[in-house]
Amino acid sequence: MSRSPYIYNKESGNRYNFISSGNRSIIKVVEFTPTSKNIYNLGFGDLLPDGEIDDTVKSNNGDIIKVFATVIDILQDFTKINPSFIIAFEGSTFERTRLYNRIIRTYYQSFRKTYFVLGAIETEAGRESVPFDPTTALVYSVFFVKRIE
Amino acid sequence: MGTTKKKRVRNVSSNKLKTQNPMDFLTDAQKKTLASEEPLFPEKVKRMNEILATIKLPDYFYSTR
Repeated sequence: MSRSPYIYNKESGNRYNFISSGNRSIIKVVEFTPTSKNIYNLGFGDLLPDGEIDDTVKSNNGDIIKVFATVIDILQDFTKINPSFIIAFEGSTFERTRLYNRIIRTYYQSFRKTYFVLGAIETEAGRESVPFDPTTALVYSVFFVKRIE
Repeated sequence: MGTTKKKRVRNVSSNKLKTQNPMDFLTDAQKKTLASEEPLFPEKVKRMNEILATIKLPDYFYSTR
């Protein structure tokens, strides 16, 4: 992504955090958690003052591009160390899912140099995984990425 | 004729803020969450497991390296 990312802290092998310094300072957390199929779920949200995590909040902090550039940077770090891992993520809300679609579509040309990207679509036959197509108007409900280099 | 001395005012609090790391201001509850070994997004992981039970990824995706 063109906007430079924030500097992040690595709490452990799979947990990261950084500060979104827009209108306010908000602590963001990113965690990769293994699922039953050894695919890692990418979780992303705000760490609230009471210690709760909110992954549905609309921060409106004025730095969304920089925040997502940081999440991509973190994804790069994690998959560089664990190149065989498949990372899956889904928006917590339909709005956020649409946002992920827009971001991946926008940056796909550079993203595809490093990752294979699959998207999940809902069909009459059920849920199906297909290669991500940046030209489609479809909204993918889940993304799966795997490092290729 | 006397000279007027201009007082130089330093905004100490603003300078101080610029050099301090906001991570130093975590609440105890936030520190506890970050230090916890429990997954931070258990509901998302549960949901992803449900999704993965209903979807098949192509074999090539598993063997791309």
